[in-house]
Amino acid sequence: MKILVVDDETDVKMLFEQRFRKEIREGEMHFAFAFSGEEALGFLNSNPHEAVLILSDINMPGMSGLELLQQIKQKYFQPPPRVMMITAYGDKENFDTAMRLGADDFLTKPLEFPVLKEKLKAIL
Amino acid sequence: MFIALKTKIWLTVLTIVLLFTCFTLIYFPLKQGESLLHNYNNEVQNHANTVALGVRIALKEQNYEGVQTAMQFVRGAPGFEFVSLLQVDTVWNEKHDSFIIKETVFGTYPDSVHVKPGQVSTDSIIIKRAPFQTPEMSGDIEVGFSTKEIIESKHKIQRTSLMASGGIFILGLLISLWLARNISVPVRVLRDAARRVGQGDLTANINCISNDEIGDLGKAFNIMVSDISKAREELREINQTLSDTNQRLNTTLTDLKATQTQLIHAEKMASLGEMTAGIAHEIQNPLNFVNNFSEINSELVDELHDELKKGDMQSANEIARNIKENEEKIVFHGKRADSIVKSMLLHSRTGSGQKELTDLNDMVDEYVRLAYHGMRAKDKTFNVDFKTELDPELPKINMIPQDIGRVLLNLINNAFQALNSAPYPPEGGHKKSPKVSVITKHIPPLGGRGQNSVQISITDNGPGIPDSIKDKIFQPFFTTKPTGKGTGLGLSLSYDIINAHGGEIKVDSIEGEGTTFTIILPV
Repeated sequence: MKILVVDDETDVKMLFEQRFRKEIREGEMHFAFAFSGEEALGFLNSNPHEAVLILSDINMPGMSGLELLQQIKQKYFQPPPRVMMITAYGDKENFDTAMRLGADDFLTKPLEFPVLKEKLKAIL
Repeated sequence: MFIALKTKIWLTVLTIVLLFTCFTLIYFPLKQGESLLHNYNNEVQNHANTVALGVRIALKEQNYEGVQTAMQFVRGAPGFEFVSLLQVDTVWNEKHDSFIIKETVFGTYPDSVHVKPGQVSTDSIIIKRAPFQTPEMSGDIEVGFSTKEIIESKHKIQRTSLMASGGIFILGLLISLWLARNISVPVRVLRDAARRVGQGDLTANINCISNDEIGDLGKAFNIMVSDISKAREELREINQTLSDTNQRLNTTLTDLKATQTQLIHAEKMASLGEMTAGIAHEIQNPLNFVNNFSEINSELVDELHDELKKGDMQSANEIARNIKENEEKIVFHGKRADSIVKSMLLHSRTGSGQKELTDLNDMVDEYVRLAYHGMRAKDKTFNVDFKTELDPELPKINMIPQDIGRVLLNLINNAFQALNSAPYPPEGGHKKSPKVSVITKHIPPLGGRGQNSVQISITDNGPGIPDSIKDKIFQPFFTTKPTGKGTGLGLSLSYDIINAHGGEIKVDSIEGEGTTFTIILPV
């Protein structure tokens, strides 16, 4: 199962690759990265048969994480992939919107990587 | 040449008196004397004629006694000296070739006087003749009268004239004195008073008021001085009022300036306040990276030790390379956080900044993010897309970074706020996704001439600006926000800042379509 990380901060790629270097090295986890909602949709469209877990930031220029979530859950993909939202704004409204749109999890920045690691392992 | 009025009066009166004196003293006695002498001459001639008539009658009658009586007829007349009877005969001259007139003294009364024929008048005696003719005898009666009385009379007239002249002279002097007193003195008093008024003494007053034009002048002068005094008093009061007003105006001006400074600062702080959440968020991201990469590096250093112990140099090198890369990221994101804090400090700084060459693209990018996250932090439902199109060829601009930063922040904030306050498009209607775009563009000089400039346009697709307020938005204190929400200084200050940079700022807006603010700055 591939984990697609969506964030407009490009250094997130390097960060995840470092944080999960053991898991990547041992083949436990496979990561893909998209730097905008549009790019993420493009990835999903071009890799329709890959079972995907999506980790998406909410605040991005252009298509926001919530819009991406909406599109993934309501329009394109069956069965819909698991989507975990990540945001610096961990308020109730954001949380409620994400949940209403079908988010599977909701994480706040700064990310607790040990916690994330546990969650990902449990899913996998 | 200054001649005092007094002197003039003196001179005038003296001239008149002197002329008059000359007349009474010289001309009048002379004429009188002449007249006296003339009359006396006539009188003496009359005496001579009378005697001649008496003598002729007596001779005709051959009454020699009568001749005597006739001759003595004038003896009682005043000034009588003598009367003489001269016989005049025409006789041959010695050669008997022509006739001569021969005069012979026939008789004289009184006998003591010796009369010579051909005697004439002198200063002391007047001699007159009167002819007579009878068949017996023809001749002249000659009378002599003394001029003593005439001379005495002349002397008397001269004395009287002298006295009269003296009297007139003294009278003239008195009149002069009086005129001088009545004209010169009040005029001098007026002059002195006028001088005092000229020197600022408004108590000067004319007391000796005579009942004539000078008196009127004095009265008019007093009224004038009193008017001037009143006018000066009024002027002083008005000046005082003006001075007070000025004082108050100055105080107000100082207060206003202080208020203005405070307002400008408040405006800065308000925009900074709006940015606080955005700034926090913007700092949060790089700090997360710094923390994460530091933690990773710490783990990697441990792993490096392990690999070195195992002697796996290839792995060790790999790890060291990773550490190095992570370290670069730490430095990069540390600097990023640093620059955000610096720009925040720069923005809050008061006073005039220094111009420096600044990359406008970096600035636009930074402030768009700050504004976006600021809005996002304040309003959870805020969801606006933003796009930046930054011209890579954009030259650096010499500007005061914090000032231009404020302008950008203000315009970008306005754009975001315009979208956030816009009503959500109705269901089924054309959904317009709210969007702000910031575009920078290098504008080369037209036709290769003139100046390079850059253009920054900030566009939103919000509700637009109604035409009715379009020309007011750059006015100080004009705001569409509720009281207490906006200072109304943002655009006004932006306008001033762009002007001070020699640039221009303009707005294009269509209601319902959106708004574009365009800034043009010279390179």
